[in-house]
Parts: sequence; C-alpha cells; structure tokens
Amino acid sequence: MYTAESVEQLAEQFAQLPGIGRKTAHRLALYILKMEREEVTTLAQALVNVKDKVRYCSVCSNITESDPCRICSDVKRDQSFICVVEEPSDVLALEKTREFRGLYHVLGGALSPLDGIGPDELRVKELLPRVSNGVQEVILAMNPNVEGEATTLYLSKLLKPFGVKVTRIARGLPMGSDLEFADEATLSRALEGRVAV
Amino acid sequence: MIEKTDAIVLKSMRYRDTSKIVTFYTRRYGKIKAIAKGARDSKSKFGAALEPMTLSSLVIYKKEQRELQLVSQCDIVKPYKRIHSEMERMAVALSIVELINQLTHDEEENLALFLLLVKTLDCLEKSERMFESHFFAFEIRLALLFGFALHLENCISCGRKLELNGAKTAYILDLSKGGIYCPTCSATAGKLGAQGHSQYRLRAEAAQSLKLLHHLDMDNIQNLEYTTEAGNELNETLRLYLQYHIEGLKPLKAAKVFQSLHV
Repeated sequence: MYTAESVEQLAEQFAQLPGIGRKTAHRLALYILKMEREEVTTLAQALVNVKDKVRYCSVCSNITESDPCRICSDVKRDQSFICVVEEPSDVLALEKTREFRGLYHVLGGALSPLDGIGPDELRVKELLPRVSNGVQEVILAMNPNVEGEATTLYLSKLLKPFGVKVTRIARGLPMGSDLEFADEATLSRALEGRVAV
Repeated sequence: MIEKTDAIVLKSMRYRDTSKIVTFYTRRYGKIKAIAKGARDSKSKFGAALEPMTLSSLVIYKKEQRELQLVSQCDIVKPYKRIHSEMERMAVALSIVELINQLTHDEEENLALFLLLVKTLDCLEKSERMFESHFFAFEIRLALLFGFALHLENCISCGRKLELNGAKTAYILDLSKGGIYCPTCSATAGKLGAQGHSQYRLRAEAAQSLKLLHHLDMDNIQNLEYTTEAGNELNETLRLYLQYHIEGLKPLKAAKVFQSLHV
C-alpha cells in the first residue's frame, strides 16, 4: 500500500461504480482528499439521501421522493394519456422536450428474450388497471432495438382488448444527421412513418 | 489487421454509456465478439446494423490474441424487416440465433453453418405462414452439419423403406441411433421399450412431417401442413434430439419468454 488506508478504501468503493477503473478511482479518491470538508459532507449526505429518500412511485413506478410522484399528483397534467417507457431516465429525456403533458408508466426495462427477461420481470401488470381507468391513449416509447420492438409488439397486443388507442413514437432519422448516411432499416421506417405537411 | 466479412448479429449488449459488445456469426471466422464504440449514440454510424438477426457487412480491427475485437464499420446487407416487426417471426429467429450462440465456440469457421443461418432467415422473412417450421428445418439441418443427422428413409433396425403414412400408427424414434423404427420393429422396440431413455414415441403425422422437413427445399418449408399437436410433438422431439447429442445444451431462453407472453 503506497497511500493511506482510508484513501485505498475510498478508491475501492469508487472502483465498484460502472465505468470506473482502478486509476480513475484513485484519482477521484485523491480529489476528495483535496475538497473542503463541507463539500465532502454535502456529497456524503447526497449519497445517503438517494438511498434513504428515493423510492418508486406506486402509480407510475418512476423514481420519486414523494408518493405519488410529482407528475402523477400534478392535476394540470392530462390524465387521459399514458406514455410507457423503459427506464426513469427516459422520463427525464421526454420531460426535457416539454411536449408531453400526460402521465408516464415506467416498466423498469424491456422484454429481452435472449436474456430470458419476460413480462413478469417488468411492471406490466401495474399498467393494466391504469389503462382501464378512463385513459384515451397509450403511447409506447421504447428504444428502437429488438428488445424495444418485442415490448411494443407485446404491449400493443395486450392492450388491444381494453379498446384504448395505442400508438408508438415515430422511428427515423435523428435531427442534424444526413440522409445519405442513414442505414436501410432506419430509412425504411422513416418512410413508413412519413406525415403529411 | 483490418478484416472484412459478412456476419449475422447473434447478440448485442450494452457496454458503458454509449457502446455495445456484439456477438457475430461471420462467414470467414465463425463466431466473434467485438466492441462497437459509440453504437448507442443516436447519431452512431452503425445505425441498426448491430441489431440481432441482421445480416451485415462487418469491418473489424482483428488481433489474433485478443478475445474482444473492435468494430470499425458495419453496414446492413439484409435488415430482415418482417422478422424484426412481427412477433411470431421474431420468436423463431431469436431462438435460432440463441441456439447458434450456444452451440458454437469463438473463431471456429463453419461456412456451411453460416450459409444455413442466412438461408433460414431469408426463408423466414419471405414466408407467409408456418413460421415454426423454419426452426424445425433449421434444427434438422444443424444436426446434419454437427454430425448426428437424422435417418428417416429406412427403418434403423430391419432397413425396410419407411412409408410413415399409417394415420393410427405410432413410431419409435431412437435418439441415440438418430432414426425411426418401421411399424413392425417399432412394436418390438416399444415392448422392449422401456429400455431406454433414448426412445421416443412419435405419431405418424409428426414422423411424416419430420421426414418432409428433412427433404423439402428450404424455400418450400412454408407449404408443409401439420396439426398443432404434431407441431408440439416435433418441437419436443427435436429439442430432445439436440439435447441428447449436444452435451450441456440449455433450454432456449427466447423460446421460454415467448411462451410466457400468451398474447
């Protein structure tokens, strides 16, 4: 051991985080050492708060500190639209657009047949009572990959008997990209999803 | 060294923030794993070329002693759009790629297997019906390539030509010998029967379908007709047959997930 035991311990903890190797972990630990005590206390408290205060919303399964979450308890939001997403980070991404004013439902992942992840591993059954409760439209906003496609196909069939309108977000070209560099699968879906102008 | 080859994507998993680790079955090198940096970025140059069940043209930086290669470029050759957008086709194709991923070792070239995989996906994409038949046909041809082909022409005991047309007849399939007994020998084998875990009773319709799946051209597999019961019997028989001959073959996760969907 070339440094203090506490620094080694801290580096070991950092090294457990995704994407952090041994060198980065040591760099972070030494940076913490240089920080002011108040800053370190704030950081430590933030870490503890995440574990102590954050839980899943009992309605939409998004992460929240209050139950129901702020989106579910906001009376100004349109209760007749539910946007189904895979992860809480997708809610964050969609909220940044400020385009969608309905509610969300977070599945906690997507169907992944090759990994053996089926509907029982997702929060699918929690969605069904919500849909039968006066909802007009369910928007499926899954990632555009095999897992997302499998989930979309499954949910669209599952929701059919409820008589609710089920839509999916458009797939196609990202803004700022060039058409000539798009692959066939993306372009063909962009053509399929064309809209009148 | 920079190498170029066609490849079917078997599996794709997230790695760090924007990358993917992709398992390919390639024409030139068999199965290889490679990292595609930045593949999950919305403006990634790889687009959908790294999605499972896609035939792509792959360019990799390949080092002999490295287990994980680096993807330099990957362009779609065949996107298999219907396979990716219809549940029944997807269920079959995912079972096929999972099976290949389980059965093959890294960097063992097998051109015949690559061509079989591509042909099966081509036929599944074009097919209008009986999607599961493509999986059965694939399993039968896979057994042939791996050296334990099914023999369905003649009785494996007396050598008599098998007609397999008696509607009420049940046949005995011997998993260890990879063949069927004629009705006469089946009766004897059935009595002895019990002799083995390797014997499996097969109704005439399933036995006949098995023979046709073996002989029909891959393009005509969709024209084969059989009842749901025969389909279930074929599924079970072929699963047992592969499990008997391939040590450690695990049940397919994709098949289990799709069975659980009930929609």
